[in-house]
Amino acid sequence: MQRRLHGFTLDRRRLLLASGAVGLAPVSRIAAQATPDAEVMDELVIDLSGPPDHLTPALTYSVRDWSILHSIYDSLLDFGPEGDLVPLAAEEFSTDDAMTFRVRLREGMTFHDGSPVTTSAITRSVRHIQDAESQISDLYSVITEVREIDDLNAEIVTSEPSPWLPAQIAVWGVLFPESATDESLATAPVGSGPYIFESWEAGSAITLRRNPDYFADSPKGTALAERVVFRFVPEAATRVADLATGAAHIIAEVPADQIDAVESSGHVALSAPILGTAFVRIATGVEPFDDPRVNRALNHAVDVQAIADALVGEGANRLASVFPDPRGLGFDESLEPFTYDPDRARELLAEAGFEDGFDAEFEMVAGSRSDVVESIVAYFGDVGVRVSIVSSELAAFNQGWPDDSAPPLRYATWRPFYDPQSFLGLVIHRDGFLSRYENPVAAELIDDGSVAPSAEERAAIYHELGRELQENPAAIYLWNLVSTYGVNRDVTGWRPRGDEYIIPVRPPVAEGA
Amino acid sequence: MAEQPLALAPVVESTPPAPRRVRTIRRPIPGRGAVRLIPLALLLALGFLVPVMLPQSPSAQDLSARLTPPVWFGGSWEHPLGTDGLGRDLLARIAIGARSSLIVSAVAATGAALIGVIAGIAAGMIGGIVDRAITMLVETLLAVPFITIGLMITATIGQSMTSLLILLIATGWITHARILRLQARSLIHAGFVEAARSYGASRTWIALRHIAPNLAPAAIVVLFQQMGSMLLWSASLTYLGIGLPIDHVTLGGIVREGQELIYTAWWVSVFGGLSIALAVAGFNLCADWLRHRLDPTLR
Repeated sequence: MQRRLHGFTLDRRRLLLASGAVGLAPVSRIAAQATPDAEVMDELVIDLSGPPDHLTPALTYSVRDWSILHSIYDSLLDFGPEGDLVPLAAEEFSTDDAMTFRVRLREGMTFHDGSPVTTSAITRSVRHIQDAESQISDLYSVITEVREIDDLNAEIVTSEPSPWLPAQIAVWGVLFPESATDESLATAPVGSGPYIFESWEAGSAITLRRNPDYFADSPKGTALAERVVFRFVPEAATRVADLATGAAHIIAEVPADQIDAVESSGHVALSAPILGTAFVRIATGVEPFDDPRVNRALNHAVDVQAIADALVGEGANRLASVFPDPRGLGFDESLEPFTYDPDRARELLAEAGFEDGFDAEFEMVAGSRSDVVESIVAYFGDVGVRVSIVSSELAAFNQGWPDDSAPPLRYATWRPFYDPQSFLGLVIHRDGFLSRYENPVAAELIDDGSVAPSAEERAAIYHELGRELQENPAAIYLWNLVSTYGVNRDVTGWRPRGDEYIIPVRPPVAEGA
Repeated sequence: MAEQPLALAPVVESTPPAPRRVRTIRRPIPGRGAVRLIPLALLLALGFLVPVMLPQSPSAQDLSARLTPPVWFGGSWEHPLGTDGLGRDLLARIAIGARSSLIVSAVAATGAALIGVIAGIAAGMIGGIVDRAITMLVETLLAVPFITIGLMITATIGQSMTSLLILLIATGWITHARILRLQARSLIHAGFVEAARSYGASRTWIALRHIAPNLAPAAIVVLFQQMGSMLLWSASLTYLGIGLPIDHVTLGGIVREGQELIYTAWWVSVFGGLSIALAVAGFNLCADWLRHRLDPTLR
């Protein structure tokens, strides 16, 4: 099926086959023009919940950092509103066998330093990730070669079928010019995206200005403002006050309790389901978590839906396993989540020999959702599991993923989840870089899923994996993520994205929308 | 740690009686008597009686009753001060938080007093290199901001009750040491000390029988003032996220939780803050009362 979309030819079937999202994602129809009333504001201020340590693309792991990164850079591909992959810097992106990915770049694109975007940027991007000590380097190691056929045409070649690769490229594979150095990547990024990096006030703000040469029909969207300031405001109440007083135009992470405060100040609270999953990771290599009955008991012990309703907000639903959303591959609607059943939890604990419960440690990122963690811990207490909470700084928390001496329980969220391979390969596979889950059956299913040629086959394998993850839980499965933003009433055309990035652009209007 | 302004208890034997006029000025201070002990008594009742009397557990959550307002603002007597973000009873949490804050500040202030008294007497009596070493240590510690020391200790040994006590004691003994050093220095030349020395008393005997009893009033007043400031400091550290871990119920932690809810549930941080204010006022008024009781010139 060849479709012609705003001037470029896209082999959508092949592209979606590669992304693994086919069959589950409704096809988004992107109109050629941005909204007609596209006026550009002078300045737009966005409050994020914290500052990045650096902006090195390979070492960036959080949504709030990706918001800045993807405002400055473009990848070859981007996620459309329904989880489908759309070509961004690429004009065409296709594959027949998920081993050779043909790329044709858009003509006439330039980096912010004036140099043209050519296929050498693809090579640089792949090398940057392969050479960095990045969580994603392992996944990128399947790329054996980038064949630069000419300035605009290239082939990305992998050593084994890698249908999940395009979704990773959309997140990580940003293009940067030859002039970039390790230093400039970390602190003064130069990309080809809708905004040009201007300045960075350590700990407080990053300022960008509009890229006047950015292509008008970008599926990412067109710039909302001449100048954008990302500010870092850790307290949600302060972000809400910033919105109310006009000091910020878009604010991230509005807690459910403060939606009324946003609306009563005359502004707009926008909630959107994110393709992401919340969970309490269980390290199954240590006692008593080496007994699956204990881990099933913990899943029964927590009234996940009650916490979701009270603390997360509308649209957050208890998950049956790690797969969060029908828009992403692997979600199985027929698989029922664990029930909240403290009696069953006590029974399972007694069967496992822990009728008096046990003591354990539970790690969380300092300053993150302590209410969620405290609530889960209180439910554990009801079935006799006594848990003490350890707060760690984000960097220490991230280093602690594979650490055998770290607390066996940790609250975490993971997104984007368009293609589950990065999560499954890193966190669930027993050999994963971040894994403490010992399950050879799951590992084999993940291996099979990563090379299965069709999305249907992959989905079937992941459904089986979902059932295995219920039988032998790798986590306490919580809910699909829902993010709420506060938006100034005068800002028109901005929309939440499924990957939760806050990119200050006006995305193209979907046809029929 | 910031030092509290302190009127020192004078040396009993060597201080001439204060002029009568001064005493008449001090006499009419309102609430000079045991009235000043009421806030501390309230706090002790809150911390040690309320948890026993209340049916609610401070950790029992009820998500369906979250953010219930206090009884005077539409709530019910089931939760007189309302509930927090997880539906936990705020009065029960404040009571338990007050108890743990009282215990932490009492233990830390006593530990600091023990070290500070020994260091102060040693520096004041022995003098020489011991005096210079202790003085230098005191001045060095005074030059480093309290929060910096707090961050260093938390980064090294993590967040726990032990690290909080270490921090409070490590910074709190300085106040005792500085004040008692000066007093001890003035005492070693007092007539009764000279007399004891003349009939061959040892230095230890003099320290224990003559110096220490004379320093006790000042040490006790400083001890109570420090309990107040240590309670405030431990609440501030917990509020900043570098005090006790979040699963310890503390007054500072309650204020921090309430801050995020300030638009929807003001009562959480307001009552948490009021109880901290009550505690600090209680200790300071108690210290003031003790100073008047122990200082013969103020009686």
